[in-house]
Amino acid sequence: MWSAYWITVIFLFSLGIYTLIFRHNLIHLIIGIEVMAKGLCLAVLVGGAQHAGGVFSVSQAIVITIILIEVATTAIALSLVVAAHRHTGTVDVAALRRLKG
Amino acid sequence: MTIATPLLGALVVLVVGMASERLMKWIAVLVSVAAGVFALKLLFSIPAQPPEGYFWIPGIAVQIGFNLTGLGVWVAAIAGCVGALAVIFSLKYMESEEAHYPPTRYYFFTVLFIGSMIGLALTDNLLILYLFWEMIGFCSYILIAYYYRDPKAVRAGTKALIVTRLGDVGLLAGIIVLWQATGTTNIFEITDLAQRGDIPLFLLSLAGAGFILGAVGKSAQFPLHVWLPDAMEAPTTISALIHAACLVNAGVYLLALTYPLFLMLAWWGPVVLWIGAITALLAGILALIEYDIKRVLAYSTVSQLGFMVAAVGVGGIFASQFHLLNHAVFKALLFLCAGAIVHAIGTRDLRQMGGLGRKMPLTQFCCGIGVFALAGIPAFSGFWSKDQILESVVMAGDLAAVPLIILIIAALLTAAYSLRMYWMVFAGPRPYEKEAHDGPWQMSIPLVVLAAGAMLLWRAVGFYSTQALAGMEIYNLHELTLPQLVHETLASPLLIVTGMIVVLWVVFGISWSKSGKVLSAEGAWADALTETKFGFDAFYRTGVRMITEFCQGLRTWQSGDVNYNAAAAAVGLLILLMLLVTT
Repeated sequence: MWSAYWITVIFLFSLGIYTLIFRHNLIHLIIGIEVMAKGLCLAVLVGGAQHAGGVFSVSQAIVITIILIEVATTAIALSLVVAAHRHTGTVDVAALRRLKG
Repeated sequence: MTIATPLLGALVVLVVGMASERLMKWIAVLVSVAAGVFALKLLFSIPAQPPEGYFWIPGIAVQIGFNLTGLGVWVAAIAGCVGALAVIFSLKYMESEEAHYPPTRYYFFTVLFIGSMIGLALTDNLLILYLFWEMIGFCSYILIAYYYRDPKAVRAGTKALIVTRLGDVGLLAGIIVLWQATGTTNIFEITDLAQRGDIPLFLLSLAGAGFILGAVGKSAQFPLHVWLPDAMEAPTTISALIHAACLVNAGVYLLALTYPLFLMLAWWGPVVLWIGAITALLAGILALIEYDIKRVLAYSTVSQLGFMVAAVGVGGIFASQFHLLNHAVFKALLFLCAGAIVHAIGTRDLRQMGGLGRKMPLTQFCCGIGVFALAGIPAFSGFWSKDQILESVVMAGDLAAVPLIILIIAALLTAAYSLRMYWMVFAGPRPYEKEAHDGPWQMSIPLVVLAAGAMLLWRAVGFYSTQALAGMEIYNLHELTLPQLVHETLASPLLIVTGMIVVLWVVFGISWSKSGKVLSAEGAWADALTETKFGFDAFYRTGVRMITEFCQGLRTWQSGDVNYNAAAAAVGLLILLMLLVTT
């Protein structure tokens, strides 16, 4: 019964990584990161629920914190995307290649 | 006290320099003179028991103590005194540069350098020694590149920093190995342990190689000697202080300090001896064909340092340190003379000089004394110490026969190039046409003091050897009084070498004054030699290019593409997971 949750976790996480690797749109990338993070949140929750001594409530608190921080980082990422769009006129990551070291 | 004065003084110089440059300069002079006086005072009252060290960081057994043995105190005294004289000399010498380059930077780093050098000489802890070792290296880098608008100076500074860094890595590795092996960084405790055979021979060998590398880098020995001639882009006072009297001696000092530590290693002494001998010969040849007055002196410094290193290699600690003292004095004198000459006529090319003696009598006199001391003419300080070095090599027996011959040839080369330099500057058929004159008092006083030192210092040998022996029982030295020195020197067969030097001088002097032309290496081979300097620069350049190309190759991995980076991160995550699963 728990394995369904774990399969969902792995699916969400892989989906996020797939997006990061194969998408070129900055907005898509951010969505990919979000999906990955949600998968991780689920992993923490499921892990807490499976805790030997009953449900481990700290994991729920941690997930709430993660979601809050997520919002902040997403806001910053989106503002960066806006700045990049102003700079390059597109939201394609290939346009940011000039950052190559 | 001796260490803290210049270190804190440097900070004061920095702060005051923001407000008033005139005041700052006088404070710099005051601080450096005070440091010199303190170091001298220490010299005359070496305490029998070293003061108790104290713990720097509790828990990590790093204890700061003082190494008040003769070796360190003398090096500290040299640093303090030559430092004070060089700072006084700079007052006038650097004046014309002040419009273009900030003087505060100059004085700050000079005073900081003096403090670090004294600290290096007085500490008994290898970690602290390494700290000061890096500080003097850094000050040297800043001061070489002081004329920062001149790309040549900047490149020379960078070169010095990078080349000496090679040696520093060796020193650090050696210290870490010893620390690991003994659990202490106190040099005397380590030496005790090593002499009882408590350190595994393999680790001791590693440390010995590291220390040699460190000394070779700092003292500009073969094959890392390439940085010193280029370092002559520095202001001449800096060359006198750092690249003749102090910094380059740090390597020799380190070898002398750690000599008892590596006595167990059969290969250590001969390697050091050979390095010194080869350096002395190569640098002597290059000094003979160079046309830049400061580069001649630089090669000469490298060559003399080779003598000292070779002496350490055969256990002639006393000879090497005695030569170190004498060399510091007369080479600083020669550099300051070169500074006065460059200041007066504005060029460093020997071919454009000649006949300066009539215009600059005082400089000629002082420079003459320096040249006499350098060449090893009897009754000048260089003669006695160089003879001591050759004698200690003779004592080493058959093993050292080839290095001995090399060193004797190098000693003859020394005489030849020093006379050549003196001749090209001061003698010559016609007087110098343009305006030239001796420097003002700020420049003359240091010259006269150093000239007196170069002439009379050997008379203090009794005092020197007594003091140098204080607290140094492990070095197995014997005291040497002045009459003994004279007797030993005059009774030894090596007097022949001196005879050859004198004959060489007379022959050269007569032939040059007749032909009006100085021995100058002409022809393609000499130019090629001056240009390539035995090919070391090209060799290192190839190395640097290979590293650069390797890094360029690495750059292609960094595509700047988010997708690739994400893929790499995912792969890394997978590897981590697999590691977690398998373990």
